[in-house]
Amino acid sequence: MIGFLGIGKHHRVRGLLSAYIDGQVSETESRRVEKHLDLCDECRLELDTLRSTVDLLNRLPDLAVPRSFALSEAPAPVVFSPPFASAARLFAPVAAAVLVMLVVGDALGLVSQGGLGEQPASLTAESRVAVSGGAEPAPVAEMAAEVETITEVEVQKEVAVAVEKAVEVETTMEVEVVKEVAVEKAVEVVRETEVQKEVPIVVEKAIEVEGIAEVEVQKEVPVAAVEAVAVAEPEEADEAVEEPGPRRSADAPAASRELPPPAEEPAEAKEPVVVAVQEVGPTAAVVAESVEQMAAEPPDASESVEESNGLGLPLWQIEVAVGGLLAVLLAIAFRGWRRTGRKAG
Amino acid sequence: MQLDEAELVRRSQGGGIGAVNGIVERYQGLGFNLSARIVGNRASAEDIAQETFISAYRSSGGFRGGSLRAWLSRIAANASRDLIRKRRRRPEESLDEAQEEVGFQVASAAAGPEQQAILGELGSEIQRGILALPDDQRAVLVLIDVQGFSYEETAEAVGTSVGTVKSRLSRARARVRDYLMERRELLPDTFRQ
Repeated sequence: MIGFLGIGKHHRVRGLLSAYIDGQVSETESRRVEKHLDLCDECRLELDTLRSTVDLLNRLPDLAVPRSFALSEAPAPVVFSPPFASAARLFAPVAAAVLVMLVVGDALGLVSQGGLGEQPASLTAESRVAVSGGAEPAPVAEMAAEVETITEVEVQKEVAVAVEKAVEVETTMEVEVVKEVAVEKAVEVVRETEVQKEVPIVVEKAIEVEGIAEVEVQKEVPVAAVEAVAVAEPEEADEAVEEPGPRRSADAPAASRELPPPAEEPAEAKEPVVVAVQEVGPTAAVVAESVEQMAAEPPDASESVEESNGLGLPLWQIEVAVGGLLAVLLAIAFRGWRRTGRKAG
Repeated sequence: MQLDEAELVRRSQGGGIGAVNGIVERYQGLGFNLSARIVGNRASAEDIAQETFISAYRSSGGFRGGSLRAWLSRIAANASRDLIRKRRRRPEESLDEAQEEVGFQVASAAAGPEQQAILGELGSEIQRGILALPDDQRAVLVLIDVQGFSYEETAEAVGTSVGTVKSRLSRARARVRDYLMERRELLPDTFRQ
């Protein structure tokens, strides 16, 4: 027992010897250490060897600095490097090429119209599709405009996204603006739902100078199913006006190519449609809208753009998204290159 | 001294490369010696010292007063510790470096025979004894017993409490003493009693 207590005391004192050498113990601790050292040769030897070690360490010489560590210039700040930066750098040339192709192709109407050889659509329009419940779709409005050369169609969405599309129209079309279109329902289903009566169409002719007509068409269609925005040939557009949906394909075969046949299934929602179309050109453009189910209609060159991409999204939205993604990649790549250049410099 | 140091720090925080190099000139000996004693390799110590001053320049805005040399020592000690851990992960790559530990050149010629001895084999053994210590003990021992730091500065440099510094230093000294006792023939008379 006494031996155990003695070992404990040795241990405690030896734990203090290092600090005792440096004078880093309290007075109480110092007295305890000195009292123990008077009685314990082993701990006194421990202190001596420890002190000699410290002395040797203290006498270690300073090492010669082999060179100056002065900075020749301010070091570049550390910039966070995203892990995919190198991949983005590799992808940058491809992204640039695709971006250029998209922009050029879009300007030439290649992308939105599916090729040069096809008859170009003259209009892209935003329509929010809503079909009155239980009713078979019927055309709401058809508008025709005559375009001789290039028509710029500007489409504004409700979501405040403005997109400009350049559409080249080669054919001559006759413009006929229908101000009031009565939408008749061909009712063959359970209940009689008279969906739509009149669709007010506000047409503002802003500028018409030297054959250049700027037509801004705004329509508010509070109901009805606007399924397709189609463009009709001039002569066909005339025929297509105010044709009830179910009978149109029989009565106007030419127009039926442009306008999708009525769908069988009823639509579910009822939503106002805001269409804002601005056209600038020597003449006007042909605008034809029909309220029909797209599902019943195979893709057609004369269909509206947003319905022809097969994704349920307007093509221009995809273009904008792809363009934005490419721009981000280019920006990252540019930063990477600049940083690399700075390091190299 | 402290005022000059504060002025140097103030100017370096303003981005002046001249002021930064004033600090480098003053503390490059400390940076290199501390790194060299901790990692035991001259080339690595050079890299660490250079990186210490570059890091100090970049993060000078993070210096919130206190001891500048403790702050710089902390950067150097951390970089040294990182290198040691890297060596442990890849011992095959650092074998040559570790064996090159001897061969430091001292700053000034030795005066007496004792000093001559400590420059020779004894000095190398002491250095090896330091390198045999665990990381945390090594930095504390070098800072206090080789570089002459106070306990408080050392606590600041290694980012711990004074009490921890005391206990680490105690264990480190005892280990080096034991290491040297095994090579008694090289030691002064005080070790041969």
